[in-house]
Amino acid sequence: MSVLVPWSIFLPIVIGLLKFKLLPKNARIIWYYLLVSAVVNFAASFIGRKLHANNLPLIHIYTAIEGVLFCWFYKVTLQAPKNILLFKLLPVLFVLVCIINALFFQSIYTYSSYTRSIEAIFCILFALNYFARTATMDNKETKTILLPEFHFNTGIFLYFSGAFMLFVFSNFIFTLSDNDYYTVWVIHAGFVLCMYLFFVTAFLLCKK
Amino acid sequence: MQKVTDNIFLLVLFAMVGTFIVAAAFIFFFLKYQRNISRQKEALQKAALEHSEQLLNATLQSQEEERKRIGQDLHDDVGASLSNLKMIMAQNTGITSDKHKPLIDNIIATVRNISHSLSPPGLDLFGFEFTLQELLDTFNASGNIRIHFENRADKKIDALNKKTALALYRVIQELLANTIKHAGAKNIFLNFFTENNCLVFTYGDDGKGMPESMTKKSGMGMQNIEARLKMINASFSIRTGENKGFFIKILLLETAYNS
Repeated sequence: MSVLVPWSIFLPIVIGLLKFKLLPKNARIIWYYLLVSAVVNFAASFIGRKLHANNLPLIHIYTAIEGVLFCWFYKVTLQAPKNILLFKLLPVLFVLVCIINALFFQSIYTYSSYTRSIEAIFCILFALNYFARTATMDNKETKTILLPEFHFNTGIFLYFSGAFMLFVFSNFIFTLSDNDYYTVWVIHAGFVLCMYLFFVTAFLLCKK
Repeated sequence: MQKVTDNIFLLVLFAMVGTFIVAAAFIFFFLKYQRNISRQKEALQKAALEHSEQLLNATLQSQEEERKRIGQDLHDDVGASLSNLKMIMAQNTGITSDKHKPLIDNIIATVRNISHSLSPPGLDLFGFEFTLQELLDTFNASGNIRIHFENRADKKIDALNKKTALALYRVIQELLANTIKHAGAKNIFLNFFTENNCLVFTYGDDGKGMPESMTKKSGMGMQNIEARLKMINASFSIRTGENKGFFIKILLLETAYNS
């Protein structure tokens, strides 16, 4: 699983690239996120395996970029003019929190569990907001299950719900035995794969 | 120490898998809820549609009954009174009666025509083909238009149930009126034949036709046709275009024969 998942990111990236012209703005944001994710994953793997150095500083940078991209995604998807201030402030505040966390609270050589947890919370809340809006939406022409953003949202919701506890306890997990540590991260890889598969479905559903 | 570590592992594992399952269940119930809502909406829409169809049926039915009553009254009361008047005048020969006799004959014929068009009595007495032929003869008699009628379905058209026969008769009346009013046609073609257990009726004229888009924005006449065909579960297709004439094909299912 830990070998399969890093490579599986290319599946949504390739499908997204093939349909790039047909992708709406929110789908393009997810595609950019996947691209960033792939670069960071392979850079982290290179630093860890080839250079035998601590690659955790990358996760601090990655968390900030990921948080900003998901804020942008939900700003476009939720199309909420009332919450426009929230969507402008949240990414700025989140980046600030990431910097403050890295400078004063969690060393860049440890897992950024605080900021990852905060990011997971706001992503889950955005996802729930999307479900609440969709539940009351009067969409006669298209079934919800055929909407690409439903699949993007479901992938994000499932991933962050499953991984939230891992983010919270991530620095404790380092103290586990190798076998247990490996097991936990394999489960995490399963959640990531699940999210990618939802993204693939969403890209395939994108039409003109 | 080992025991504490194991507990943390299990706790993390349960928390991760547990929250994932809760989230998945949430999505499952969300989709189920949405499906139920859309089913309820569909059921409501279907009920509303059925209700409007019932209303339309009832309106058309009461309209037919009213036409029948007025037709009968005209025929039995006014027609009979005029016939009596004609007889009285025949007994009292004179300049006045001779002068007014053709006028009375004309009124009797007009009343008869009106009463027949309101409620065609031939449908019950002589069958659909005869009544239709009678209707076509009145149009042919005007000499302005030539109607070509062909029945290749033989006795099948006389076996239509009363509701279907009357609705089809009204549709033909409406089509003829439309052609005469708007098409400027020289010929009208009416055909009956059978196709895959269905009775097919085609109507066409060589008039100026109308743009295809006009058939979607149908006027009162076309709406009447649509409503009556819907009432007897008949399907239809229209082919027309500017200077291409007008053509309609109507398919009547076997249910059209159940009494």
